[in-house]
Amino acid sequence: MKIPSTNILKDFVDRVQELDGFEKMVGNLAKRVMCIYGPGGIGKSILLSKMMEECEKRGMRWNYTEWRDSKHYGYLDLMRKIRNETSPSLFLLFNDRVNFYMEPQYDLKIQLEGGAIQNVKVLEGGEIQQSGVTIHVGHKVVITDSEINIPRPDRNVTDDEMMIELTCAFMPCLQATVRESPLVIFLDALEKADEPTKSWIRDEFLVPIRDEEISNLIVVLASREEIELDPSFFDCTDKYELRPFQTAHIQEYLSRRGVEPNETLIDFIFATTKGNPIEIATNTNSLLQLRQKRQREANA
Amino acid sequence: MPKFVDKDRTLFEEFKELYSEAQSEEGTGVASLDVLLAILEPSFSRIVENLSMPHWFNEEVLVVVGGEEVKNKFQQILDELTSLPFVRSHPRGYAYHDAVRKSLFQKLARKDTSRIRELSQRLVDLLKRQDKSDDEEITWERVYLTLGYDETAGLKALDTLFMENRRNRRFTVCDNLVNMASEQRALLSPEAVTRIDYYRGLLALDLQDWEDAETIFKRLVTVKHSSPLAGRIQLHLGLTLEAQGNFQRAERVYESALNRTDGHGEDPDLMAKLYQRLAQTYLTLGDLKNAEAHAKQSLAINQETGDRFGESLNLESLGRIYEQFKMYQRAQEMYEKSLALLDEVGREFDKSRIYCDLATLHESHSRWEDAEGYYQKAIQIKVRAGDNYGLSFIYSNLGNLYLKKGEREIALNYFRTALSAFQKFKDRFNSARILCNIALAFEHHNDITSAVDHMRRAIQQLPDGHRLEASYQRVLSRLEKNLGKGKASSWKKIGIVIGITVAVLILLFLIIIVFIAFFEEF
Repeated sequence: MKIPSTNILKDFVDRVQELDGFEKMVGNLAKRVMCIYGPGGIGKSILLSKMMEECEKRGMRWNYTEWRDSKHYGYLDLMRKIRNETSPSLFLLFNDRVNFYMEPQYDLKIQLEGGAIQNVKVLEGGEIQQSGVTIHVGHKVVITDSEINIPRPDRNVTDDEMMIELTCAFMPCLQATVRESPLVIFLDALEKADEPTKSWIRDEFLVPIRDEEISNLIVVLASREEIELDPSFFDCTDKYELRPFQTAHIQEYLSRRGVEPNETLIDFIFATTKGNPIEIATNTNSLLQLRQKRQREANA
Repeated sequence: MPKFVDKDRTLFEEFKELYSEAQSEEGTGVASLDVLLAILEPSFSRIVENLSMPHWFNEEVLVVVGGEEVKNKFQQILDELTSLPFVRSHPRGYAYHDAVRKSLFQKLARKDTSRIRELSQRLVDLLKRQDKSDDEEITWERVYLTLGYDETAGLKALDTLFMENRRNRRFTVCDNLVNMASEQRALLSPEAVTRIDYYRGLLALDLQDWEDAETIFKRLVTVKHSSPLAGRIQLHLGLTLEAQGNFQRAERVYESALNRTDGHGEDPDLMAKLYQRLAQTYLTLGDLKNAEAHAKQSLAINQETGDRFGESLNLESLGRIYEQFKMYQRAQEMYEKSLALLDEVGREFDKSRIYCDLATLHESHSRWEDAEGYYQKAIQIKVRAGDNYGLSFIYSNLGNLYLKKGEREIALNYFRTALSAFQKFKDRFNSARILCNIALAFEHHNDITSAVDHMRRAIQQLPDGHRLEASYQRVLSRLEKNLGKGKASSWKKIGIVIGITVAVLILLFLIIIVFIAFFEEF
């Protein structure tokens, strides 16, 4: 996966506290959920890119999903995306369940006789273990997701039921994925996600991470709105509100961009942008463009 | 910190000057962006503006929006674009930061709609040429861009996509489509904007956000438009009100919709639906005569148009109405006809509902075996469909059935199975209902302590502020009172036993004394 915003990452300034927090998180995994929020243009996505860079340095796996104006993800899209971009071979149980709800006339290939799906464990190599009985499917059965998005007409179950059953199948597969090495999942622009997806993230996806049913997994959430989590998440969550830049940050940024920092200029930029990073960057571009333009004119 | 050298001071003064000029209504609303657009070469500035139309861009899109200018110095322009601080990588190439894109597009929509229309068409042609009909994101982008130059075609495509995804319960996609279409508001007619808002209302209704749905539909109802959409808006406002339990208001809305559509028989499907909803509403309100009349009117339309599924729904309603009238034979006939129609149209799953209706009908006549037979038929359908959640409702009904038969242990087993299913699906309301049933089962068998315990759990399970809370509290108070009475009467009994024992002992003692005195005398 390519780190987004690499073109502007070299000019990154500040966000020391947030990056320290992230480094501690990936260092000791004591906290497992990070919430970052702040208005548009404040630098959430670029901060996430910086964190991804940190993961790369540490040789740590990461996965990035951004809700865009042209592409919103539902809970199933998100689970499929995480599967596709991590270890697809460990998600047989999940694929089986997805096909069961989507593909007409599909019968479950992995039968969990008498046991609840919540008790299932997926072992390395894709073996499925449940209630002490291991069902070897890793090498013998290959179950691929038929990638159908429409619930099958002959299985008219409620959306909630499908969501719960699919999540129950997804979680052991995700647990198997992170058993050997940690994974950081970044979810960006969450304000664009619809309410059912947000509530799935809050109530289904994060809960096993909070309860340490899934270890070795860190989730970083970024949104324009403050992400409200249940108080029970207090011990495992770090929350950061991104603040506008101060003059010292503007000075550092200008230096990085090759603009001689000057008090009057810094004050002017601060006053006109109110410390909004994207506007500061735009102003710096304008200044550089203007300088080049005048130089070209002088040369001519 | 160094001071300005003269050259830099001049540059800074010029920059400031540009800034003060940028604070006008003509611009994007973001001064820093306006200054940048003013400084850039006009042709490049135009490209920057044009690229705010699509949601992403790549080399091909750049050629389409940039024209001749780009063809000559493609790489230079691409490099300049990617050096802009609001341009980021995107799975399909590049994209603007969405806040910047929005500001730039709004300016373009105000300033130059003809440019938008022309470029939208060119972009749609490009996407068509690529022929990636299986790529949903491209399909959505095409619909969004089509709305920018051909409202009728765009709306038609949007309607098809929205309704198809709604049928398939892909609400995230529906939400995506509505948001993308809304971006074109500035270019659309009031009718088109109403339609997009109507979709937004439908989405809120599907997501059970009743408050939002009601606000949207109520606002749309007051908008004066001659569009045939008006009746549909009223139908969905009524459904929203019904979902909230406001049946009287729903009835008024449906009646008004029928009055509006009087003489406009061009939409029989809508008429049939309105009559059917009115029948259901009257049934809930206990106005059986009106319920029957409206169900029959809906049935007549559906028979005429050949809507077999609609007919089956009407017959089901009539069955329920006759059941209320205590015309059980007719009710059964209606249910059976409805079943036959569902068979005809292959709606196997819906048959489980009718089987449950028939079971209830037999249950009300204490025909336990027949009732159970129908519940079993419903169970078979639910099992085949893998509908675990739906199954738990039938288990709950079977629990009630066995309770009426006086077989408490079997009843409790059904209730417990249903309870664990509801809890698994985090359905607090139905979990509370089952716990209440269990409490009443225990009360029925004079196990008041267990009854109180389950009733307390039922109240804890109820969602906050639920309308049933007060009645559940009343049941709990009654049970607690019974428990108190039970305890008091036990103490009373113990007191009486002790009293009698003491009295007997005293009497014996007195008799013995009398005897001793008597023998001593002799």
